[in-house]
Amino acid sequence: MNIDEKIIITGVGIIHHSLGLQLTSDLEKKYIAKKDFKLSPRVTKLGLVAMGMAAEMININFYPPEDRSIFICSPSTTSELEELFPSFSYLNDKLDLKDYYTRGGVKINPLWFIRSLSNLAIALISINYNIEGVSCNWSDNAICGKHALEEGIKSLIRNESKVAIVGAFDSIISLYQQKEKICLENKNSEGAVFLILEKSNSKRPGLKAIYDLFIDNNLNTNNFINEYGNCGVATWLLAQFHNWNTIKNI
Amino acid sequence: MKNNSENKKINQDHQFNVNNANNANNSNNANRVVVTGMSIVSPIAIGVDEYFNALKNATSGITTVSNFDASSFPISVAGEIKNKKLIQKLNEKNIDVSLMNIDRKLVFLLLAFEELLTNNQINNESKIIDMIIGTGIEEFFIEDAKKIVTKEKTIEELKGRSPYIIRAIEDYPTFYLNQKIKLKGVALTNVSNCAASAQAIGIAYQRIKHGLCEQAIVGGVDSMLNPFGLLGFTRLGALSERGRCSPFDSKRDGTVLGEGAGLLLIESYESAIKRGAKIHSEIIAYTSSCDAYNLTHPDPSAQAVSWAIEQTLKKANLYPQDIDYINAHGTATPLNDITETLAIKKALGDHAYKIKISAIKSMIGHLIAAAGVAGVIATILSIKNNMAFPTINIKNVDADCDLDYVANGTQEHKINIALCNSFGFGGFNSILALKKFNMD
Repeated sequence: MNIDEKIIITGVGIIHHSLGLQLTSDLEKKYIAKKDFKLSPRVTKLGLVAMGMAAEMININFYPPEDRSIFICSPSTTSELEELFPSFSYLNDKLDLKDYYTRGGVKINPLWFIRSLSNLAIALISINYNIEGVSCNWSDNAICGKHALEEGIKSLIRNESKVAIVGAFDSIISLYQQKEKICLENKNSEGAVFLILEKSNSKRPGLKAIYDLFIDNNLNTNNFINEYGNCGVATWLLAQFHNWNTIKNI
Repeated sequence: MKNNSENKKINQDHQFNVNNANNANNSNNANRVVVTGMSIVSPIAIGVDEYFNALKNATSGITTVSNFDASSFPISVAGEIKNKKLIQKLNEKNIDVSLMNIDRKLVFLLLAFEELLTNNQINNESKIIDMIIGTGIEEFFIEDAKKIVTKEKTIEELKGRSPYIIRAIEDYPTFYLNQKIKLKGVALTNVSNCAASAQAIGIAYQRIKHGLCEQAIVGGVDSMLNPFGLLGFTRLGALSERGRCSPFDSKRDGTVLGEGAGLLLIESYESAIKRGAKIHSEIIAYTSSCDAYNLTHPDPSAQAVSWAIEQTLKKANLYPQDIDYINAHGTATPLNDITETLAIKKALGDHAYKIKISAIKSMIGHLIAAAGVAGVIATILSIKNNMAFPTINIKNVDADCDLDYVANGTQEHKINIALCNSFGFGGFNSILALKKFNMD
């Protein structure tokens, strides 16, 4: 890659209360396909909506499917716990696995398992936007988004793809997991951010950088959490976006 | 807050550093990545030597589930690591057995790590070492779930509470291990399901190749052998009702779950030579791709998989006739095996009929997130020993699966270059190319 070439941000989709953007039924209707709606738990919907917002900013179909790459940070298990409740409705006190499957297990919707998978969102997005190129799905701590962004940049630099989608989303508003410890100390929050990255020398008509891309290696996510709440695996990318947005508006 | 000119400089510096790394790696051995350590915890063996013997002898690790009562489940067989053997090994390595109560996967990973240390020293003082682990979804504890439902009557009461149905979130094994050894590099958890550990290896390979780290501990761990896991796969209809994983067989009817962990120590050629490490194999290319087709069904055109194989060959400057062997994803689901066969034929042409293809899931079951690393270790053992391990349980090969699947018995076969295929839920594909190590 020529030193004069740059990686630029050409599309952004974001849901975060700091920008007055929250997940609403209008946004869900606009950006989530009917077939995906029932399948997707709330946190996946956050990701799908943010991706939809970013995707409408560029004509992704300019690039062949195999030149489109995607790098995602998704939270741990996303399924709604309530879905398991019917399988226990026959129980009084004693749980005996000997008859659990036939009396309770059969009542669990087969889709529950699919909804539990961390890579549900990346799967739906790759299908909906015909992304056949390189991919990766991380699920780590708050800094997770940095790795996804770096992978996206590298895929373009190495010419493995011509357009890279980088996203992170999480919701810890109603949390059933051990992350509760984090939530007790910080405000619970949720959010999603999706970026579309292209090379500055792309021939795509209408190519326009909307943010300067840089990675702040010293980005302090704690400051962001203190101010806006904890967004789990989406925290770093949201904080970095907040940084870009602030600079742009100076 | 940085100003605009500073920000632009950071952007340019970042790109310059990556360019430098690319340029520096363009000569001689500078971009070679080698495998210097391997460990495996699987239903047929704990330890690489035992794994080799078990694969060579066509050993099946599929048995009736005994770690919990699965007698009412329609499918109650799996590639299970028996608790008795597991506990014995944990005790031998001084690993706290009670950690099994938090996360079964965690003890698999710790055991694999201790096995890895048996023949390798991890010097995290002087080197930048990454750790990238592929994991599957958390273990759901059925007893905990039942407790919640019977004691906490309404959903509303549950909101905001932590019922601990999940005792350890997905990145917990990576987090725990990294806390223990405190590496200087990145510690990442890949959650691309059945392709997770193969992607983890691929990403680490790229990071070493491009000079971002010197060594990496990579691999994967998974266990879905708990009531909710077995129930989930059963309800999805992905498991063999016969309880037999028979890849490429005409009567195959689904996969069989397994569990386990595997780790590789991979590093730059220079690092390995400098420390006099034993080199098992060389990783020469990696490509991932997405089907972009369906959540649960592979794309019948096999386009994305064949593209990934072609890209892998291109990156390693290989021709189809250079490939001697493929360790197949081979799940034994009706659609996977046909699609994988088609992808191999599309990418390799007539040469596809000359290579040996093994599906080791027939012996160990489907290790989900750890399936990729179990396949890579088997591939390396095949390369080192010039041996194609068998695909067991084949009685009649499916008419649409017309390649050489090394049916039922190990075959001696000269292997210089091999591919290892891993595919995951949602249509995520990973292809790794490995080569017999040669100093030249």
